[in-house]
Amino acid sequence: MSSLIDYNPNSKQIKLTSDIKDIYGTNTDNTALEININQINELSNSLIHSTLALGKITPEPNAKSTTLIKGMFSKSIEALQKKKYEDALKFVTLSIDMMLKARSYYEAFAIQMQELQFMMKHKVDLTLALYSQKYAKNNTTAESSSTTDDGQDMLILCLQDLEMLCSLGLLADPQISLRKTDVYMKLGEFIKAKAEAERGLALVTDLLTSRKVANPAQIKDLSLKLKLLFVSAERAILKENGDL
Amino acid sequence: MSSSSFNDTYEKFGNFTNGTAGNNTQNENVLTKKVSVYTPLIYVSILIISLLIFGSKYKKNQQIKKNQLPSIFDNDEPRNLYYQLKQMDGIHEKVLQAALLNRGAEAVRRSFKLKEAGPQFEILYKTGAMGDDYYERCQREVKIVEAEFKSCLQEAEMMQKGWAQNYVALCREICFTEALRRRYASIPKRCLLYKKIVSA
Repeated sequence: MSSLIDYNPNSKQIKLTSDIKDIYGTNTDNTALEININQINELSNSLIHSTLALGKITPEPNAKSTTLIKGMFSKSIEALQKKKYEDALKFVTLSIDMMLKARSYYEAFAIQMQELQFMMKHKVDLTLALYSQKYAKNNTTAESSSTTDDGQDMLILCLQDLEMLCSLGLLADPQISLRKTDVYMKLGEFIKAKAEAERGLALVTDLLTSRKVANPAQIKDLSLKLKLLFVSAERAILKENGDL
Repeated sequence: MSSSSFNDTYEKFGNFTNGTAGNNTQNENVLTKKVSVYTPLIYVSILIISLLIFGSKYKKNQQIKKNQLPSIFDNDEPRNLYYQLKQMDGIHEKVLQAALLNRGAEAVRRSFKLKEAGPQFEILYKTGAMGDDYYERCQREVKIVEAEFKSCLQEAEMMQKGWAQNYVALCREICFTEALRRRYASIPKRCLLYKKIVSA
């Protein structure tokens, strides 16, 4: 079997051979192969840059990377305090990218996931704040649908970030439901917004009945916001159907 | 009763026995043939040998049939890549180590998938929703993944003595982290897909 990969001894990186189409044909999907090659390249980079011997490499997170990521994230917080949402969003996006690049694949997954969760939550909040500042400045109701492509792109990205947060173990978090409802309302998808608000309200009720809540006032506030969004979604659906 | 009359009767009818065979057996000619003591042994050995041959051929056929069944997973690209890199000359040892770690992470991912889906497979098989063929494929896959993981550990031990213990922990972290990054990297594609759906 002919080789599928080319090796560059200078960069110590591997890549798919240029003859791959001759071997497998033009219609074959090499996505899995490409993903694996990228993973091997990332791993070999981490191993080459590591000063530790192979036997001593452990999943312990790198302190240097932690400092770098924290530094970039704190810049985002500073920008947010100055209400410079655009800069804050830029810095938090950079800190996520930095985390994904600086952290090795073999560093503790639990820590990487927590970091990513935290930064993505912050990113979602900033995106929504920036959207409100840019596109919904004069609109006081939550029923504003996006008017420009940029605004829609921003909301779609925000929605996908929220979906990612759900798959990171925050599926039963009413805070995520609140933000998703908000995004759906802004995208003009009122049926989905109503369903998400209902889901959030059910999760809030669960939280309040389980009595494991540290701050009940905050949960009640969240419940109120969800109820408001639910009512607005219901109204919007009625309006759309011509019943109001 | 006189004694002469008794003797007359006795002589007239001959000896009586209580057995069911009667006296006729004594008159039959029984044919006997001399058989070697090895005959039953040869008979038994021929029987056992033929059974063994049949068993081994049957097993081989079954194995061939099982091997021809397609895997429930996609191609094992990390494994193929590792062996290709191993065959190539002048590969940096860290690149080989990285390929081996990637291969181990894939083995971990597959074993997790099989463990997750195992109870569902059992239920589907018991309720008749899953055929014998597919169930056999799943069972075979478990064994293949086990063998693959053992092979990875042997390779790790060959690369550096004592690395196998650490190797497992690293593979597990790599498996999850790779999944996390693949998911994050899919966000732009998902955005495009969502936009297409919305605009359609």
